[in-house]
Amino acid sequence: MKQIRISTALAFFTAFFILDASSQLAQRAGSVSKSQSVEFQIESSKKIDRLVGADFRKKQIRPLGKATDSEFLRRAYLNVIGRIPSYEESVEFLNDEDPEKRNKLIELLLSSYGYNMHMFNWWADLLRATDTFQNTSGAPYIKWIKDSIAENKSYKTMVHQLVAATGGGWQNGAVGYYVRDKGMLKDNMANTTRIFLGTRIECAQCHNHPFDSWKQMDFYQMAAFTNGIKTSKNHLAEYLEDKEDMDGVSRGLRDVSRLVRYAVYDFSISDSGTGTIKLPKDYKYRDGEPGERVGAKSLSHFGKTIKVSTRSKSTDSGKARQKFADWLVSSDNPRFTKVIANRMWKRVMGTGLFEPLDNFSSASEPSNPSLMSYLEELLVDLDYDLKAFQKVLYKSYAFQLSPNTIQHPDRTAYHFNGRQLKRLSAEQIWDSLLTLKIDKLDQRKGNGYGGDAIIYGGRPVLVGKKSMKDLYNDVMAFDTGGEVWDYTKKLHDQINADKGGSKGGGEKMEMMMAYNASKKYGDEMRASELKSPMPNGHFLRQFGQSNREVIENSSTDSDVTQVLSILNGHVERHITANGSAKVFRVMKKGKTDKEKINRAFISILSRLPTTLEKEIFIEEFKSNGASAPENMVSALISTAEFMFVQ
Amino acid sequence: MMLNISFRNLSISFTVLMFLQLIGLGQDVDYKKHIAPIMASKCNSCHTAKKKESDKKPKAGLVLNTPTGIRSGRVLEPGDASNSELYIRVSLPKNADDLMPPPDDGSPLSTKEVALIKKWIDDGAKFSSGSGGSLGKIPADLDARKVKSMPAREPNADAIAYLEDLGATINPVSATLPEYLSVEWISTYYKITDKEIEQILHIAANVVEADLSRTKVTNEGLKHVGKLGRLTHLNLNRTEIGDKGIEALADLQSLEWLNLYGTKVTDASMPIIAKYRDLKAVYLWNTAVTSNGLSTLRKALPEAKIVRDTDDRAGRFDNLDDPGKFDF
Amino acid sequence: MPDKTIFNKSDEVSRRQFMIGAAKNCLGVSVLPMLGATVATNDTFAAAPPMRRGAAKSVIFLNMSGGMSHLDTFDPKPQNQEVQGPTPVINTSVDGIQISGFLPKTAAMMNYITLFRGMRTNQGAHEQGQYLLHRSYPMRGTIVHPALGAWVMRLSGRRNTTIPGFVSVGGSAENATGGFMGAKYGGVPLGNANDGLKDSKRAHSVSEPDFNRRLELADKMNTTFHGKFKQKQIKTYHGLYDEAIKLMTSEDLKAFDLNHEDIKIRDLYGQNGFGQGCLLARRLVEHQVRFIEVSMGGWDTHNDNFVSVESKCQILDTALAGLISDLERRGLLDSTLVALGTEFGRTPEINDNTGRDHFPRAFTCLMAGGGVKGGFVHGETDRKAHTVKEGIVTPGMFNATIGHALGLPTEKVVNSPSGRPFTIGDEAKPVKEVFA
Repeated sequence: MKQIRISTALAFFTAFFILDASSQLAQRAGSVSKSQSVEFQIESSKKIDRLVGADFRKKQIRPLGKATDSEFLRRAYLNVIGRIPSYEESVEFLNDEDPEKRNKLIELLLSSYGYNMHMFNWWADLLRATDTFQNTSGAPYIKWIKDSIAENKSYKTMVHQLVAATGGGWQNGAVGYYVRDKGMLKDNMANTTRIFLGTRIECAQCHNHPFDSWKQMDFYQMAAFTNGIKTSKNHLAEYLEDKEDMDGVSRGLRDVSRLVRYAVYDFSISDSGTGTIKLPKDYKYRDGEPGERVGAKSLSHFGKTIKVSTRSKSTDSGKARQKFADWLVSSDNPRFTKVIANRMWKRVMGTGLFEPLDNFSSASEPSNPSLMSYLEELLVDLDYDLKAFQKVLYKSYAFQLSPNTIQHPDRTAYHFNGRQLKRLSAEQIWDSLLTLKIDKLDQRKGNGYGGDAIIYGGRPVLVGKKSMKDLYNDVMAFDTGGEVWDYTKKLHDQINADKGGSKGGGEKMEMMMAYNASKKYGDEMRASELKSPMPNGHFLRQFGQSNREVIENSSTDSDVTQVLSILNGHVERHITANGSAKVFRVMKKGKTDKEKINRAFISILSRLPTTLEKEIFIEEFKSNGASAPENMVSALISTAEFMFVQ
Repeated sequence: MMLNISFRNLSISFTVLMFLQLIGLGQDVDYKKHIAPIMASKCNSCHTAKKKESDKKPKAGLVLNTPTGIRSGRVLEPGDASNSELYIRVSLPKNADDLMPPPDDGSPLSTKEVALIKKWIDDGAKFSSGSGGSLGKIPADLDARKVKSMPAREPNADAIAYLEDLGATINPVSATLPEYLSVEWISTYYKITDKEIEQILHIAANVVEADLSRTKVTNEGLKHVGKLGRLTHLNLNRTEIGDKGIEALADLQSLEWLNLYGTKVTDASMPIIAKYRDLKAVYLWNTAVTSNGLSTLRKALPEAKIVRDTDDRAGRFDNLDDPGKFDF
Repeated sequence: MPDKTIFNKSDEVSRRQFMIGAAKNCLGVSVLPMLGATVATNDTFAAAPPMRRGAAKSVIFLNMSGGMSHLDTFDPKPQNQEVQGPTPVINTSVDGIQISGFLPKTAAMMNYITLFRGMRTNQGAHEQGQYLLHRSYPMRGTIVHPALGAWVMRLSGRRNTTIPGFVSVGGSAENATGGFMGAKYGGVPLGNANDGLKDSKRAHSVSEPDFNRRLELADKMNTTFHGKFKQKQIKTYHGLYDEAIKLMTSEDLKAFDLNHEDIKIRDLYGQNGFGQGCLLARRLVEHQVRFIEVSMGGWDTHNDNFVSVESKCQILDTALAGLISDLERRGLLDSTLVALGTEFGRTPEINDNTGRDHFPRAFTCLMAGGGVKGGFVHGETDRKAHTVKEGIVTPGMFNATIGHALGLPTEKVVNSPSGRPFTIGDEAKPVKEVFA
C-alpha cells in the first residue's frame, strides 16, 4: 500500500518535471490581476511542484506519498487558521466527496476570520507588538496590524507604512513601530534590518562584525536614518508635566493630564528624524573620528545605495526616513523579497529554504535555489499579496505530502520532502484546547477592538461623547500650554460628570461591546484576542508565547511544567473535568460506546481510531464506564499526536 | 563562515547516520569494548592522569583514560551527544581550530569512531553493562586500617554502576582527583537501608565522602561505614543512629567533617569524636548532647567548629552594643 | 576554596601539593577562629585528598528589587551626618565592620559574611538594572540573555533529577528565563512560597486509578505514533511525562511544602513572603536544588527613605540572619552560597521628600557561606558613599564570583543560536580575594 503511494507521488512529480521542460516560464499575464487570477494561481502551484520535483531528481530523493485526508485537514486548519478543526468542521470535510475538496478547504480557511487571527500571532511575534507602551495603551498599534491583515494590505505597503510612520498613534497606529522602542532606536534599526532584510547588524553596534563584513560605521550610518525622531509638540507635554506638580492640583486632574500627555504627545512621531548621527565617543576605527557626525547611508549590496548628507540639512534630512522606507521595499533591493518569500515558505511548509530566516549572509545558499528565485518572482507578480501567495503554496502538491518521519538536523539544508513534525505553538495549543471547550470560538473579538474609548480609572468614560481619536484631534490643535491645560481641566470635569456612562451608537457601540468582551469571556478567546503578550505565568506564556521582547521569540520547547499543566492543571480544570466542555457534549450524542469513541477521536485528533485503538477504548468504556470519557479525553490530549502538527 | 561550518557538520552527521544504519541501530555500544580503545589510541597520549609527580599533567586537566576521569571532566551530557563536549570536539570540521585530536598532531577519529561515540553518549554514556552479579564478594575481614593502606586506584566501574542502580549518586570529589569519590543518596534516601549502604564497600578504597542523611541506616549499618578508612566527610543527619553506631566509627581517623544533627547521639559519643584529630567541623543540633559534652569536645578539639545550636553560631558578641538583642 | 574544575589553574597547585604530600596545605587564615575555613594541618593529610572545603553546591540568591540603599544597610557613613541621615549605625560581630542599626541580627552574623562595598553598575533604571544584575549583560532588543540560574544549570546541571534545579520565588519570572539557552535551562517560578509547586499534585477531580489509566491509555496511543516518528523531539516530549510522574511521586516534592516546618522555624525566618521564601530556599537546598532565587521588592525609596528602609530591613534582617544560622546548624552553609544582590544603590544626598534616588555608581551586595570568607569587606566607597575608592565589582564580576564558588568554568563560552559568544559574567573575572 505504501509502496503504491510512493510510486504514485514519484510519477506525479516526474510528470511535472517533464512537462516543465516544454512549458518553461509560465506565460505572464497582466500583473494587476494576477493575485486574483485563478488560472495564474493554479499554474503557480504547479510550477512550485515542478521545482520541488526537479530537486528530488537532482538529489535522488524519493518523494513521500500524499497525506491522508485527516492529516491534510488537521494540518490545514492548524496552519491556516491556527487551531484544530471542530468536530463539525472535521465531519464536513471528511464526508465531502468532491475531488476538489482540499482546494475548497484552503479557499474557505483563507477567507475566514481565523486566518486573520492566526496571521496576527505571526505578525505580533515578528514585530514584538505589545499592547502597552511605557505609560499608555498600544491598542491603536494592535488595531492597525489587525486592520492591515483584515484588508489584506500588501506586505510592501505595510512595511513601508510602518517604517515611514509619522503622526499620532490614535490617528496612525503604525507609529507604534517606533513608540514601542522609545529610547532604543538603534536596536529598532538593527531589528528592522533583521526582520525585513534578513541581515543581522547588531553586533556592529559596538565593534566591526566578527564574521560578516559589517563595520561599526555601517551600523551607525544605518542608525542615522531613524536618529533624532521626536514626539510631537514636546514642549506642551513638558508644560503639562510642570502643571501636574503644582500645589492644589488634585490627583484626578493630574491623572487626566497624564493621560493626555502619554496618549497624545508621547504616542506620536512628529518628523522624519535628522538623518545624521554622532559616532560613539570610543569609536576606534580609521574611517571616522570619535563623536563625529555622519550622514545616513544604506547598506551596500542591497540595491541602489542611498545617502543623507550631513550638510544639506534642510533638503535631505527632512525626508531621511521616507527615503529609507522607499529603499527598503524597493524592487532594487532583492533581499527584501527573498526574506519574506522564505518566511512565508517556512510558515506554510514548516522549514525555510534557508535558515535561519533572518541571518542570510553572502555565504548562504538556499536548499533549492531555483525554487527560491521562483518564489521571489511570484511574490512580485502577486504584488506582495501574502494571502494570495500563501494560497498558491497551500494548493501545491508539496503542501500535501505526507509528514516526513525522520527528524532533520537543525540549521542544515533541508531538501523539502514533506513537513517536519513540529510542536504546536503556544497559540495553536491554546486555540485548539478552546475548540474542545466552546462553540463559535472565532466570533469572539477582543484586543485591539477595545477601540478608541477613553480609559480612565480602569474603565471607559465619555462613551459616545468623546473617543481617543477626538481627544487626539482636540489636543493636537493647540499650540500653547495654557490652551492644553484649560482643555485638560475641562476634560477632567466632563469625566467626573460622566460617572454613569452613557451609550452611543454605531461604531461606538461596537467598541463598547469589544471592551466588554474581556469581561464577558474572560480569557476564553483566541490568543490573538487576548493581551499581547499575556502576563507571565499564563498558560500561553508557559507554553512559549513570545514575551515580545525580541523578534520571533516564541518557543516550541516543551518542559515539565507544561506537562503538569496538562495532567493536573489548566487542561484538567477546563476540559477534562469540565462536563460541559464541547468535546463531552459531542461525545454524549454518540449512541454507543463505539460512536462516542469515534466522536472523541474526530474532535481531538481529527481522525477515526484504528482498529487497535478502538479495541483499547472499548475495553476502557467497558471496564471503567463512568470515568471512561474523561480518561479518554485526557489520554488523547496527552498524546504526542495532539501536541505535534504533522 | 558560520554557515560553512554548519554545512560541514551536516555532511558529517549524515555520514554518521549512514554508518549507524550500517552497524544497525539496535546494537549496543559498550564502553570497554568500543569506547576505551578509541580513547587509548586517540586521546590518552595527552589526557592521562598523572601517576607520579614527574608525569606530565593531563592537558586542560582533562583525564580521558579512566571512566571517572571522563565523568568528572564535564564533557558528557548522557543521552545527548550533540550537547556533549566529548562528541562535539571530535566531530568538528577537519579544519576547525577546536577539533580534537588537534589537526596538527594527531590523526582525527574515523567516521566509525565518531559514530560509536555519538551512539554511546546518546544511549546514556554507560560505563558498565553488567550488574552487581559480576562483582566479587566483599571481603569479610575488611577494616578501616586495611582500606586506608589500599592504593586508591581507578574505581571499579561495575561497582559504580551497581551502586547507581541502587540509587546512589557517585562523583569524584574533584575533576583532577578522579579516584576519590563522594557517595550520596539524592532523592532515594528514604528507601536506603543498611543493605544498600554495605554495598559501598565495593569501592571502599575510593570513598572519601559519604552522605547518608535521612536514610534508614542503623547502628548496625554503621559497622560497614566504619570500614571506610578514607572517609573525610560523613553526613548522618536525621538518621536513627546513636552512640552504639558512633562506636563503630572509631577507626575513621581521617574524618574532618561530621554531621550528626537530628540523631540520637548523646554525650557518650563525645570521647570517640574527641579522638578525631583532624576534625574541623561537627554538627550536633537537635541531639541530646549537653553543654558538658560540648565542653569536653571543645577542650579536646580547640580548633574545630562545633555547632550545636544558634547559640553557637556566631563568633564574638563582646564588641556589640547590646548583645541581648540577638537572642532570637 | 571552590570546587576544582579542569579550567581552574589553582587546581594544579593543590594537586601538586597533594602529590608531594605537602604537610602545610594552608588554604588561608581566616579572620575568626569560628569560621568554617580554618584549616588544621597535620602529617596524615597526605593519605587523603584535600577536603572540598567550602565548595558551594547550591546558591540562594536574594534579590533586593528596587535598589537597596547602601548607606542605610551595609555601607553606613556615621562620620558624615549629612549623607547618613537618621539611620543608626551599630558594631557587628567582627571588629572594624559597622552596619546599619536596622540590621541587628545580621550584625551578629557578620562573621559569616563578605560585604562587596564596591559594587558599580551602568544601569540607572530598574528594569535595565535588574536585567544586568541577573544576566551580566545589558538589555538588548535583539537577544534574551539567560538568567544566572540558567547559566548554572547549563554549566553544572541538576543534582536532584526528580525536581527542578532552578527555582525562583516571588520575583518576576523574567529573572528565571533560560533566554537563548531555551526553556530547558530556565527556572520554575513560584509566585508565593506558601503555594508550593503549581500543578504538581493530582487534581481532586481525578482519582488515582483513573489518573494511572489515563497515562496507560496515552502510552498505548503513543506506541504507534512513536513507532512512526522515531525522533528525538518525540522521545523528549514523552520523556517529560515520565519526568512529570517522577516529580509528582518524588519524595522530594515535600521540599516545596512549608507545612512540614515547625512553627518555631517559620518564625525564625519571619512570617512574611520573603522570610518564608528564604525558608523554602533552605528546604530546596536540603533537597539538592542548585539555584534558588528569592525576591523582595519595595526598596525603591524615593519618598520617606528612612521609614521605608527600616521596615524593609526588619524583614530582611530576620530572614537573612535566620537563613544563615539555620543553614549553619544543619551543616549546609559550607556548601551553600548565599548571595544578596540589588540593581543599584541610592543617592547619598537626601532629596526633598526625605527619600533617596537611584544611584548606580556605588552600592553594596554581599555573600555568605559557600566557601567565601566571613567577616570580610571587599571594596570601599569614599567618605560620602559617593564613589568606589577601590575594589570595584560589576554585576558581571559578582555573577562570575558566584560561578566560581560553584566551581563553574567562568571563561566557558556558550554561543547563542545565532553564533554570538557569551560567558556567565560577560567576560568578567571572579573576585577570588573573597574566598577563604
